[in-house]
Amino acid sequence: MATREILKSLAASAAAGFGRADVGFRLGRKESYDRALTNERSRIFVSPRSRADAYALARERLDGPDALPFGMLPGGEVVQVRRALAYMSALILGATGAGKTRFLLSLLLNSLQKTGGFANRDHGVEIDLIDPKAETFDLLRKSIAALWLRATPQVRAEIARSVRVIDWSRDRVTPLAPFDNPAGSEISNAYLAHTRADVTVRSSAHAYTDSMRQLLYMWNWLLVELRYPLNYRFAVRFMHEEPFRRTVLSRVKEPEVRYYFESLDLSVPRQTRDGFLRRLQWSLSFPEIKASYIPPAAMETLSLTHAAPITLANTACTTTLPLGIGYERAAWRATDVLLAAPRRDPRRPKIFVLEEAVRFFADPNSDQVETLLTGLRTLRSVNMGIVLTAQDFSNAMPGPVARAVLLNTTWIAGFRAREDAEIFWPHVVFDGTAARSVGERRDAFMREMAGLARQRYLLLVKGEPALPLRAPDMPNAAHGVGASEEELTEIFNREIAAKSMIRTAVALDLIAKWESEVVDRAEAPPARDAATKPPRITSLADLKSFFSGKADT
Amino acid sequence: MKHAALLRHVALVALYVAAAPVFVFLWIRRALRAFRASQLVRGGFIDCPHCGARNPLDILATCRRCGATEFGSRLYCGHCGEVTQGFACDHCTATITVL
Repeated sequence: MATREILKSLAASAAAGFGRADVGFRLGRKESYDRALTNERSRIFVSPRSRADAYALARERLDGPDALPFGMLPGGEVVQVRRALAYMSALILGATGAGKTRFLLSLLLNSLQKTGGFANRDHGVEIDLIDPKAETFDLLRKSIAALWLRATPQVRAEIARSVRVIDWSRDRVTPLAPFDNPAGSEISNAYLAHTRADVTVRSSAHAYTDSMRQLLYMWNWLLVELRYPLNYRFAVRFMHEEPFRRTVLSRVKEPEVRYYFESLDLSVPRQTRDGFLRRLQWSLSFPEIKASYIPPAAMETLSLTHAAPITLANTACTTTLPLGIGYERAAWRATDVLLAAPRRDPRRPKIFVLEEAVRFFADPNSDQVETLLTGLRTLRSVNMGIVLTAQDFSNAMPGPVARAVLLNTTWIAGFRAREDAEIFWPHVVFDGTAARSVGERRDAFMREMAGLARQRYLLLVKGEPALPLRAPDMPNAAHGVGASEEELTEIFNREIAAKSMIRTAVALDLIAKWESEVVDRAEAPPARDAATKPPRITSLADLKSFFSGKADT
Repeated sequence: MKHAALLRHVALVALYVAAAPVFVFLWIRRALRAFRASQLVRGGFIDCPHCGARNPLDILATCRRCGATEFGSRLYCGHCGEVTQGFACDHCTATITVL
């Protein structure tokens, strides 16, 4: 039979060489007819006889090349989802402690292993994680450290090169240049400044008036034009000393920015400027935050990892990072990833994981919501999927945004949840033999979802019935490598994270050097001293002294 | 007159002989492509490169040229012999080129 098939293929190819592509189809017409009959019979309008049949058919349809294990059915059959489908945009829902993080971790680690891990640089998967709660970040870094411990020296070097860490601690920080628009970038300086300002305003606990919002936007634009870091001392001198401001503005090429700041005294009320400086002072008063804003020019001299296939960002509200600033950092990072996505190499798949996604979608009017929704819809064309995790998705997410997210995700994993169970209800398969009414079934289903055991979840892939699965087991990273969890963290920080972070003291030194060069010395003459100040006239007596030439000048 | 006709035939044969390597190269290229495509077609399914949905190649298909509906490959019409190079994904409607 096989020989016959091969002969048919060869004959079809030979005929196709003469431009007769139809010969192959003619030769395989009978098989094609049989397969078409089978396919049409298995379509949804022909219902499977039982729930087990429905699960078996779905399992078969989901499987395919480079499939990743998603879990086990109640009968013990492993459900694997082919790679192309697994890397589509997805949503993982569930209450705290229901097993979302472990499931996500298994997906990421299995992806790394399936693609040859770190040893296969050309075909590996790219991962970008933004974690505002630190848990996935922590588990993933321990797992990567365990992989590093097991690896050969060559692979260890590859791991260290392949991972970039964005984190802030008392000793070390990842330097950032949020106001640096590299040469060749397709984003205009104005748009970069706008996205940064939009995120800051929406993430801040402070209220922003129109004029303060405008000042923030123009300030960001000024920094982008000058390639300057965010710096309080520079801001104070620029706002208060006109000669310094004029000197700085003489270097700005963009006329919009120049005009705005040249007329600063007229266009921005004093109170707004003071309020702006207060906010700036507050955000830069945390040493770890201040240390992360080193000048972009200085950053280029440090041999740090700036772009890597795997980027792990810990933006959790911790002892070093206040909530608002952590979220601001996370949103900036998300914007950067999404803006760079259309120009990425589509040959390597990429998973962009956004933990606690509800926070990012909370304000439907913000630019980043639109960017994220567009990304969910369109990034499959560049082989990139966005994986969102969320708690209480149906209640916390604004209605239209929630609907758009549900429409644009290819698969949804639902762990223990109450209201979110509604999403799965229309896709649940029941045994035809059960004699309960639809209402009773629905109540039972909702109860079951609200009390699902840890690790159990429903997998809904669009076009398939909801599959009740048990997520793959995730053994402790420290298991079998002869190191404790603390040691794994220490190894990760020392061998991997150190390639993308610098010591806080070094960063503060670089900032002090920049301040002495730009703020204190080179840019402008010192401020006018008291002797040259115009006379202050606050009373009739002052006015009389002024006209009589005895004013205290 | 006879001489001229003979010369014309000889020139034609010489031209064909000279062009033969090009024809052979084109034939091999087309045949290799067809062989690769036949492997895909025999697999019965194609994953959409855009949405990843698994599309069956053999279905109850309607020919877009003659309108005949029959069980068989969606790339070939057994009625009019039309061969289609691709089709729209059942899930996302993106065009999938097969041949």
